Order: sequence, then structure tokens, then C-alpha cells
Amino acid sequence: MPPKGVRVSDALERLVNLAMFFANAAGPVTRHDVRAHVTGYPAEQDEAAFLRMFERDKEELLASGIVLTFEDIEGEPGYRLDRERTYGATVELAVEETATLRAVGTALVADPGYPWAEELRLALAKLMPEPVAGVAAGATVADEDPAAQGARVALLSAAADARKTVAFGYTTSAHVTAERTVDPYGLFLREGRWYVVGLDHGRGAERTFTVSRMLDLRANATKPRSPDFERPAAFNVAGYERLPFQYGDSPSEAVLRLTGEAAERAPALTGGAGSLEGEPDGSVIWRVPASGMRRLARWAVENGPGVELLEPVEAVEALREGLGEVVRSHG
Amino acid sequence: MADRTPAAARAKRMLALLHRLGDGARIPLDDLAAEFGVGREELVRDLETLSICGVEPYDPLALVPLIIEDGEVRAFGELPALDLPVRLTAAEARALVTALETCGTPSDDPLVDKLMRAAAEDVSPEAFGRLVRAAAAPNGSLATYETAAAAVEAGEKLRIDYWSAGREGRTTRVVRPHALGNDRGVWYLSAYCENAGAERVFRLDRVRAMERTGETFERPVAPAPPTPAFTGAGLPTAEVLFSAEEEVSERDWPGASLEPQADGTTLARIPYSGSRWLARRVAARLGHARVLAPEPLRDAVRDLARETLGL
Repeated sequence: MPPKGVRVSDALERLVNLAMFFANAAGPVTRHDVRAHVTGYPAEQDEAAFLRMFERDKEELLASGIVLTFEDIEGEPGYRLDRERTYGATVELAVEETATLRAVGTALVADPGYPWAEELRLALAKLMPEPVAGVAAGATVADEDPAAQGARVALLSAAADARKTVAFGYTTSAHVTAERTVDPYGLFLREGRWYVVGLDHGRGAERTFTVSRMLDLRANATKPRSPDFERPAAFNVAGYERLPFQYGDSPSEAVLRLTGEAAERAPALTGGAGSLEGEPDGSVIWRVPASGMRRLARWAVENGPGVELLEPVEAVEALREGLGEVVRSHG
Repeated sequence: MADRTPAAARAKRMLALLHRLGDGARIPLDDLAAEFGVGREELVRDLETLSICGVEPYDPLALVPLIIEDGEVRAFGELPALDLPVRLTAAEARALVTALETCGTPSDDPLVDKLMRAAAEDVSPEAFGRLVRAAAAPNGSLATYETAAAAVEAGEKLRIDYWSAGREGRTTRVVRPHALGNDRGVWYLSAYCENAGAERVFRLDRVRAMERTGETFERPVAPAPPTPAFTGAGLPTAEVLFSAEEEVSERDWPGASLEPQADGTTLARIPYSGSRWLARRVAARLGHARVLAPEPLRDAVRDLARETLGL
């Protein structure tokens, strides 16, 4: 308890004062300079406690974007604000660019299924000359308990950044639940669900997990500053996003012709999978690996009109058989 | 009452805000509170703390010159330090890049390039994209999104060339845009359609062309962002029987009621706005779904299947 009449500083006050001290200093400063000239460090604190507090505070400033360089001042560590790496350029945005940031920002920061709301708020606060508020926009990027998905993805994202192994209970599509230990490499969002890709320790192979099927997710808390794994250098999460007909073994090449509307929206329709080749008549030939022939046939019908399945012959036969049954059952 | 938000998080907000507090700045408290997603009380406490921060000698000329008055934060002098915007950290840059990805902005887009000038030097949107993806491919175009967002803010009518999945056809319409919304990764625009004389919701990735007309209109007082584009309210309902082998979920059929039958089949009552849309979805089940009613929809399914077969 501080003596009567002695004001106890808020940690917020200390952190802001520390940032301003570094920003205002003409040259490098020592820890003793900090202790002597920055309001907020308790006078009665012993040296070891002060040093621990100071070290944590420097990390917090770095997490805010305040970057320091280190130099030796007569055998003592000295700190200087790195102005080049701290201060960003003022970005001039066109009216429509500003409106875009305001809309997408407003929508996503309020969406519990979007895991980086706080970081997005801070980014917009640093970029925009005025608060982003009062914009008519909303989002539900993930359904199936968005708050749970958002919280889990935030944890997985932090674990992936720090390369820390995670563990969780997982329920498969066959309704079997088991504990998994995974090195998380990357994450993607597809049609309202978040997925994590990583090395499954139990299987010794990479797997993709649906975040909404996880229970009791936790990251390895031991040695937090030491990574538990190395991510493969060539890892790219895009390679793990699959269309419904791409799950399974032994893929063969499917060929589809996209015409009319389907050709115009080919990039969005195909989700970046396979390759697209424009034809002189305006159609687009799409070549894409496919494993489930019946699922491919269904996909072609569901995403039409203008989606013509050309190969492989098994998929074309599945499509003709299936549609024949549709004609018969609706006759 | 103790603050629930850790001091470090509060400090991040205040440090991010400082560059806006130039001499003469006036910022509504409610706007700031909304921006940071905090209650007004917490914000005021933090701003009051900020007003006693500064540099030696910590006298009035060396503190952050702000007061809170009439629901505003007002700056009445120059900041003693940190008067320039701080660079985005890698985490903040990634949040921004990922957010823009949802509206069709690839990591090499000029807008991303421009924004990254305000980020830490070692930030790489391309590297972000290899580890986190919020959209599989351009989901519509950024240009469409930008035009829509600007028109919503300005209360300006739009002329759109739109492809309707329900009709499987294109129309040109003039609309009064209200709000933007994202549902499961897809962006929608809610607007009053002058052609239809009614409210409509448009998927941005089905907009083939969009232009601002220059004509403004009176916006609703508090427009709601679009709810999922397909809800059952006021729509006709189809009865569809799914085979026992077919997995049926409300997630795949929004607004539908599902009744499992004794024989393992599922009877679904599905609201629909366009018969062509539902006919296509039923036909895509390749015999594992059958429309029981209404009769015109059964005909539509059969005709679509025949058409696809080239019969």
C-alpha cells in the first residue's frame, strides 16, 4: 500500500510516458535514465523488480509498433527510438478506398467469427484520420458458433506464429472423437468454416481440421519463447483448400467448359483451383484435379448454367445417369 | 472499479490514437468508443489518463493537451511527442490484409501495396497469404466493393448489371444502397430496387457492372446490414423428399424445416425465391432428391435435367 497522498500510477500511464520519453529523447538513454525521468515506475521498487518491469514494458511498446535500437553507452545498455521503423508514412486514400476500409472494418471488427478484430481496430486507428464508426456494414464470416470458431482461430493463429504445438479433442465426420496433437502450419476460411492445416503427430502426416469440430483446444505453454517445430519452407495453405470433389485419393484430371455467366465468373467459381484457359469463342476450359466423380457431377449441375463436364468419362456417365433418374422421378 | 482490459491493450489503443490529437482536433467520444469497441466509461478513464501523460517536466506544456467536453475529445495544443502515426505491426498488417481479402483484394493489389507503406518494413502480404487465407479466390471484385461502399456512405443511387441465380438471367437495375454485409465469406448489398419497387439483397460477386449515378436519396435512419441473402419470410415453400443416403442439414438449406422419416428419408419444406435456383439444387442431387410439391417446380426440375442432358 503506498503512503497516504502518494498517487499510484496506472500501468497505462507508465507505458505511454515511456513511449513519449523515447520519442522525445535526443539520443540514446539508459535504464537509469528511464527510472529517473519516466513517471510511473514505483520509487520503492528494488532494482531487480524495476528491470523486470522495464523489460516487459519494452516488449509491450514493441507490440504497439514502438521500435527501439540498442547501443552501448559506456558499458551500459542504451536505447534509442528507431524513428524510421516506428513512424509510418501517411497514406493518402481515395474516397472509395476510404469507404472500403470503413465498411470492411466496421463489419469484421464486430464479427466474433473474425479472429483478429482487435488488431484490425488498431490498424484502422493508425491509418484513418477519423474514427471508423457509423457505417452500415456487418458480417458473419463463420457460422456454427462464430464466437467459438473465432476464439479458437485466434489461439491457433498465435500458436502458428510462435510455432507452438497444439492439442485438442476432435470429432470426425464419422462422429468419432479422439485427442489430437498437431503442429499448426496455416489456416483458411471457406464457406463459413475455419480450417487449420498442420502436422498430426499421431499420424505423422499433414492433415486439415475443421475448427468447429475441436474441443478443449490448448497450445503448449512450456518454453513459450522456444518454437516446438519448423514449418516446411514451401508450405502454402492455398494448396490445402479443396473443392467438394477434390477430397479423396487418386485424383484424375477433370475438364469442364465454362460458358456465358460461368465463364465470366470463372475465377470466383473455381476458387483458384486448377487452371483456366480462355477459348476464342469466349468460353473457358477449366482443368482441375478431381477425386470424387459423383461429387464432381453434382458440382457441375449445381454451379450451372454454363458448366459443361467434359472429362473424365466416369464423371460424365455419373452425371448422365443421375440426371436421367431426375427426369424419371419428376416425370 | 478495476478495468477489465489489461493496461497493455489500453496502451495500444491510446498510442494508435495519438496521431489524431493534433492542435484543434475534435473527436466525438461515441465514435471513438465504437471504433475501439469499448464502453464510453472505459474510454473516458483512459483518455483522462492520457491527458496526464507526457514528458519531463510533466507540466501543462509537456502533457498530452486534451480535454473531454460536450461528448468530444478536444486537443488544444501540440503533442509533446509521438505526433506521427506509428507503423502497423505485423499482426495489425495481417489483420488488414486478411480483411481486404474477403472483399476481393489479392495481396498484390495496389491498395494493399499502398497500405503496407504504413506497416513495419518486414511485413509481407504475400507471406501472410501463404499461412492464412480468408478467401479462396477473388470473391467479386474490389472495384465493385469500393463503388458500393462509397455509394452506401454517400446515399447515392447505383446502376447495376446483375446476374440473378433465381432467374438465371441478367437485368439492369437502379438501386438505392443501404448497407453491406458478409455471410459465410460472401459480400451482399442490401438496397431498395427501383425496378422491383421493393427491398432486395444482391450478391456482389454476381454484379457484372456497377456505376454511381450521381443521384442521391434519403437514407434510412439506421439501415441494418443485410442478413443472409436467403431467408424464408414471405416466400413460397417446396416439399422435397431426400433419400436415406443423402445428408441433409439446415446449414445447406437455410430456412428449411427437416422431418426425418421412418424409412430414413428426410422430408424438407424449403422456402425459395427463384424456382430455377431450387430446381438446379434438386437436380444436382442426381436422383437423391425429389420434389413432391408444387407441381410447376417438379416440371422445372425435370426440364432443367433434360436441358442439361441436351434432350
